[in-house]
Amino acid sequence: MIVLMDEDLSSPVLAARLNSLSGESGCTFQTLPEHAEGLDDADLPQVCLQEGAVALLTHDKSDFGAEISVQQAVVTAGVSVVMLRLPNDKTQRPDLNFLAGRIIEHLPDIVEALAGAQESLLITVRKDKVNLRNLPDLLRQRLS
Amino acid sequence: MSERRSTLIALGEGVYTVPEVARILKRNGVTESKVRYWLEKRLLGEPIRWGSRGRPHLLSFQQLLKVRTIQRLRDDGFSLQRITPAVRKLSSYLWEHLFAEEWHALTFFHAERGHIGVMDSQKRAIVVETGQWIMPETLQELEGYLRQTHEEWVRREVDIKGFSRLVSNARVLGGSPTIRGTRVQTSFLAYMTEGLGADEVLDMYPRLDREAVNQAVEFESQQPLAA
Repeated sequence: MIVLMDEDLSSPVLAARLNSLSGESGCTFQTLPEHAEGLDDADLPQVCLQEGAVALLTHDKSDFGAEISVQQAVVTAGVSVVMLRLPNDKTQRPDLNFLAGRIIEHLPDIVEALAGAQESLLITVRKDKVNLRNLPDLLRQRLS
Repeated sequence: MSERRSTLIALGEGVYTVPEVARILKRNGVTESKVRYWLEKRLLGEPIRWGSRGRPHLLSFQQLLKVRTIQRLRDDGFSLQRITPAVRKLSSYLWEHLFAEEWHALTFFHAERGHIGVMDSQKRAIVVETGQWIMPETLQELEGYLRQTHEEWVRREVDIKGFSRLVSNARVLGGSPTIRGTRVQTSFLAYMTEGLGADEVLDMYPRLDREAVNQAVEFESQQPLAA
């Protein structure tokens, strides 16, 4: 299965690191194609589908509008969101090892959730666990 | 896959909280308290959602432009006491022009004492009370500002004053400040740079350049104006 990296996280170095560590998980991390740089939110679903992605990898955004827009965009294509919670940069360097390590540590859970998803999921990757939420339900809740 | 979908926001029209609007327009002199006040005075129209305890008000890109325009009118001499009635009167006229598909150039003119008129290219005009004299050059600049604002409305993208590489594009991340032409959030870039330093960030993201990174860091380091 392919997980597409949103542009914030679309570092070729990070993708290479993730793919070298993901082993036989069946998961491939793919950077956003060059033609999709600066892509509108509304075009995200189409790119996900073109690339055959089941999920978009992103991080916890600093503002409500950004999070909602990305989530609402991908949910229309039945795509899930894998959201990496970033650490406090005062206590932990958000370097390549950290970013890759946190995802890889929870990759079996992420793959299992994506493989069994009946609807779009929000998969939040935290320090010690992965949280699963039904994305359409969550959006309705947050926007009501 | 279920057909249940959430359709509560219109993608591409922007989703802004009040603090976010104030942050983007900080260098235009906008504060959170002004946005809240104008929202409550119904000068901005209906928000996407009225907030309540723990749930923020949600504003659109159009409302962000309205906030900046009201601030501009204030700066140009519409006094605080008179701005509300003046903008109320202007709103059905000015907003209609700003957010129309076709631009009909607006021309300001001095009417009777303490009043300013505005007319479009189809000779439709209104007169509002400003309470004070406004310099002819100021009115000319205001005309240019309105034309530019209409162009920004069409693009759904506004420049962030003082930061040539940063924009708020309603179609990208709901309008969250980004590096122009990318989906890279200023907040994320500043966060990464704080932790890793600019050189390492540039190694990770070869599509970015140092100036963009520096502007993101500077923008994120500024605190919103006090309410």
